[in-house]
This record gives sequence, structure tokens and C-alpha cells, in this order.
Amino acid sequence: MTETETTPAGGFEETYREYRLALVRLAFLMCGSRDLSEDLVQSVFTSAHPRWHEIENHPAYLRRAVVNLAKDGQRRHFRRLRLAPPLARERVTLVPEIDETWALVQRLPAAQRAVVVLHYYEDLSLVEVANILNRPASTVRSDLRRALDRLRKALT
Amino acid sequence: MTNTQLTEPELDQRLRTTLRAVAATVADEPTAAPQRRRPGRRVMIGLGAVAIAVPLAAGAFYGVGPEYVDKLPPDNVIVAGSIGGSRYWVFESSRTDECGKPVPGVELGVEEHNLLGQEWNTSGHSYGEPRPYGRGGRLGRCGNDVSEALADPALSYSSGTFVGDAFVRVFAVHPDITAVRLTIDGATQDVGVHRVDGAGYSVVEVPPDSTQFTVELLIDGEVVPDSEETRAMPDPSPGG
Repeated sequence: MTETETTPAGGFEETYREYRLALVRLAFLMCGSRDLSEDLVQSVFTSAHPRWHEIENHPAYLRRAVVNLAKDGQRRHFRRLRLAPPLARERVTLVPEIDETWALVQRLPAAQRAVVVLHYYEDLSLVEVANILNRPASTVRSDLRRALDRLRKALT
Repeated sequence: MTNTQLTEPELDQRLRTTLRAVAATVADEPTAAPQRRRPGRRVMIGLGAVAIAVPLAAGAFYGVGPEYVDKLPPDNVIVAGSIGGSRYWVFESSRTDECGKPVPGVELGVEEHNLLGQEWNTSGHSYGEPRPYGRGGRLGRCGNDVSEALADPALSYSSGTFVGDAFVRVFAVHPDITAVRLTIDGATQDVGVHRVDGAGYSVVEVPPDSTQFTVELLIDGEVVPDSEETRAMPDPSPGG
């Protein structure tokens, strides 16, 4: 899924079948919870359904909606920690090197994590990332630099 | 012994490998069709319990608790929206009325009124006239009478609430209705209808700068005679 791809002519169900898994994976990298990721993607499709024929580029629209909803959800989750017990972080057991890196990515602030995921997982340029996050490219570049500095120090 | 930092290409590669490996752990498990949410239904309580009240139609109700918000978005969402950063969901009702019957229809929950760990705070929307329960309805409601509503497709039941500065209104309509046409300042939009418990439910968003809006009910693109209804934008201030 890239921002510049051509608009598919697919209908709602076809697009759902084709992109649901990719969007759930993207949401999981953003929020770290499988259940929340499923809900989030369902919510995005539900929200898009009434306006389906007005949306020009369905994959790009859906990805943008997932990223922003996940980012907002993460902010709200931290605000609510004082109201409800924190959710257990879901463990992903892979090789130690990957586990360690994933744990560090999960601790990044929401904005930095979004930039890292979109740049390294979705292979988007920083200009495309800035476009999706609706933030200046200079801010996105700065977020990425801070995230990499933080990860590099922790991974020594 | 000294620790060495990863070079930039090494860190890039580590991140790409990690994110792809972690993403691949999310297996393709297509979600099942939405299940009816009947267990653990919440008890509906009388009007006036919530500060966000807007004049209600006969089939509408407000509900608070006693169950607690454990998950957002809630289950069985039929419409999700966001206005100025405020999210809301319209979902299948899980409430019971005062005589223990499931209340048909949907509930509208606004995120800022439903924080995790707090009691649910929603407005409910139902098709038909509530049957009074107890002498003169003193004990509340018990089921809905839909006989009059089913005889007239132009009849709808609607009420709403503010989400941010905008107004979200939910329409409960005849099962034959296929869309609701919203007209604001000459601009027209047809909004789809969702089937819940045999009736239709449609959700319209009225922008904050609107003074009034008009709604018509449609069956297969044709306006149902006598269904046009023009309403003024409610006053968002308390008691307005």
C-alpha cells in the first residue's frame, strides 16, 4: 500500500477482503494490541462505508484513518491509565534481537512511533509520512531523528 | 569492554526486520459476522438522567450504567464518526426495559461522555411508541408498540445529541425506508439506513454553523410523501 498507487475500482467488500489484514497489522504496530487493532480497523471500515463512493483512493484513505485513529487511541490510553488498570502489553516472542527492538519501539512516544512504522514498515518517504500525519515534513524528520537516537542508545 | 552503537544502515535494517516480523505474527483471522449482544444487557432508566439531553421523540431514552465502559469502540457498531476530534458510535442497544425485555434499536455513545472504567452514558433510539409500564407508566416502559409506525412509512422517530459543536441526530424509520435525505442550506446528502431489530436506523451530522435542517425519507430514491420535516438546530447550552 503506497500513497501514490492508483485508485482501485474495488467495492467495499472486495477492498475489505484485500486490505483488512494489512491494515490490522499496521494498526498492531501502531498500538500494540491485537483486539484494539481489529476494532480499530472495523471502525474505520464502518465509518467509511456510508461515504464509500465519495472516497477517491480507498487504500490511502483507510491507511490514513487507521494511523490517525491508532495514534489518537494511544494518547487517550495514556490519559486513562489513572481511571482504569493498565492493559497488559502483548508479548511477541520471536528471536531476542527482534523482541528487544520491538519492546523499544513500543515505548516510543506515539508521534515518533507512527513515523518509524510508516517509514520503515510501509516504506514511505518522509514527505508521504508527513502527508498522512498532517504534520510539517520538518517535524516528521525531527521526530524520526529523535526516535532513532533513542533506539540507537538503547540498542548498544 | 565498550559497547558499540549500531550504524545507521544496521539500525535501519534492524527496524525493517523487526517491524515485518512482528506484523507477520498477526494472523489472518477474518472476523465473524457481528453477533447479537444480548447477554449482560444494561437496564434502561428514565429520562433526564444525563446532562446532554435534547428534546426526545417518543421512542428515545437515555441510559446510564450500571455496567461500566470496558471497551471503546463498543461492540456491534453500525456507524462510527468523528467531529472535530470527538468520536461517537451508534451501536446495537444492549439495554433492557423496566419489565426485563430487551429494548430494540440502537444507542448513541459519545467518547467524551464514556471514559473507560466509568458507567455507560448513552442515548437510546427505538422504533415505535413505548408501552407504559405500571399504572400510567409510573414504572417506565415495557416493550414498544409499532402498529401505528408500521402503517405509515412517513413516520419516523428521532432525537440526538451534540458531538463537539455539531449535532448528531438518529432516525428510527420504517423497514421499507432505504435512505434519509438531509438538506442544509440547499446542499443535499442521502444517508444510508442500517437494519437493527427489523427497523431502519440512520445517523445524520448537522454542522455547528447550521440554523436549521430538513430531512426527507426515501424508498429506492423516491421521497415518501409527507415525510419532510424541518427542524431548527437545537441550542447546545444547558437548558437550551
